[in-house]
Amino acid sequence: MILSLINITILFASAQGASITVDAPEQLRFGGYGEATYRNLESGTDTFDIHRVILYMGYDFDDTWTFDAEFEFEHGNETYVEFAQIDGKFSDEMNFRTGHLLVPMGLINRNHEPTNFWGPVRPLVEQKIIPSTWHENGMGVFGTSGDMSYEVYIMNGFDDDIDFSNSAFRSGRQKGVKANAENMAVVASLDYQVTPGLSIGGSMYSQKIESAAAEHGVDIVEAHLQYDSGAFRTRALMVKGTVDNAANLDAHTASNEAATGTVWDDFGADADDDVSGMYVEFGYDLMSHSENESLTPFFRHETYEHNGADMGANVLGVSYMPNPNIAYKLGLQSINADDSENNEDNIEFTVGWRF
Amino acid sequence: MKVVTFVCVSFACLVVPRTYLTRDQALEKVWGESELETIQKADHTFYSSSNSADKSSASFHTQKVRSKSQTIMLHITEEGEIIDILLCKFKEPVKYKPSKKWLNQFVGKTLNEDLRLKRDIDGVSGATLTSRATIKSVREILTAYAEK
Repeated sequence: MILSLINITILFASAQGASITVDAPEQLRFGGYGEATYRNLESGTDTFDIHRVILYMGYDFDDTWTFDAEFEFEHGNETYVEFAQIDGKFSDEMNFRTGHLLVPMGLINRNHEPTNFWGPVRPLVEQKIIPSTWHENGMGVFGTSGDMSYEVYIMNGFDDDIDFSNSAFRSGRQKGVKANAENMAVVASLDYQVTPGLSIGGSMYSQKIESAAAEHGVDIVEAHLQYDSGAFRTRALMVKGTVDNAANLDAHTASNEAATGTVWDDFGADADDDVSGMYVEFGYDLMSHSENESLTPFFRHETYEHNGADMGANVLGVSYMPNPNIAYKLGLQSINADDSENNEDNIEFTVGWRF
Repeated sequence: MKVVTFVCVSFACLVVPRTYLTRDQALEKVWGESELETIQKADHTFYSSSNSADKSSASFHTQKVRSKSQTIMLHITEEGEIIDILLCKFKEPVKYKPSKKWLNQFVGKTLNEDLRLKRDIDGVSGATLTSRATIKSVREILTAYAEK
């Protein structure tokens, strides 16, 4: 039926290739984003990666019911559904969402296009503790009331086979693929627009994982703020994740063998384990006189702590956007670990786009 | 218990009214049930009341935000100063919807070079496209009004 609604015209515009124009009904929408990243790493192999290419599509069934989805191609040959959701929009205050959803935590996860954050790569805190891009199957409600907005979902949680040693919660993501739903999670977020340029918010994630030995609470709590004033922008986030009785959960996970070459210790040294971190970043647009262009030098400071082992990272960089939907980003990243063997300085560059 | 809660909430969705404004509803917020006159300026329709002593006008503009559109109504004085701005329809996810607090930045403003992001208007944190779409609508309406 959709194909019958689309009138596709293929034009061979030049010897260089074909262009396609699509005359689609107004209810059907397309878009996307992507990024290619070069990483010059002090330890490890330098890479130049077509990191992600995402295609968005949406369809309005009527004024109330809509469908939105993003399909992701990572590293050239890995495909995922990033989200695919049906929304029932009944009012500003109360709406219903089901399907494959973005987990509403952090600053990056819900606004993860490369034009929305500084630096070639996302803050490490929002890769490992809030494992962006984080998406699972679920259902729930969302809406706004005055200057507040909220989302509350029940979702399939982390798999019980988590290797915390290397990447904290990241390896627990199931991405909604035949997800183990024995241990569902509740996720809730709340944001408040304090002034036109200042917003604050937070979120929480709560799940119980059953292992042979015990029940393990897995909880993540975060708070964040964003502030824009003229050419100046700052963002900050702090997050803490805890795993109850992690020692027994470690024993339960078949893949949790000894990790090598990482700054993370195994969960399991203590009966309960936690990981925490924060980042703060500042930037100033040197081209604030321009309506569409921006040139923003920025600085980001991050810290993590895991079972007493501290690590920090600083990123000094610049982001140039010739257009609000294209970004060239360069970052000099310096990682400092408690054990200096894992210190490293990296140079990273990304070209990103959104449409 | 969680299932019962979600079922109740789901039914609540069916009875809470939606808040889009039609053209007539938006104009009624400005002039009540007064008779209205219209003039055309540069493809924009400007409404004003024929029963009122004030010479203010209002106009609508629909602008694509990212993949969906929003519609605003701008109420302006005879001199082109913004009295109020109403969000009539917003089809992007509600979290990107501009708040009344953010829209109030435009009140008292007139068309000039500083009526832009990073100058007189602060962006909506995390919703830059919404900010740009709104400013574009406001500038288009004011530019059309300024034409003789």
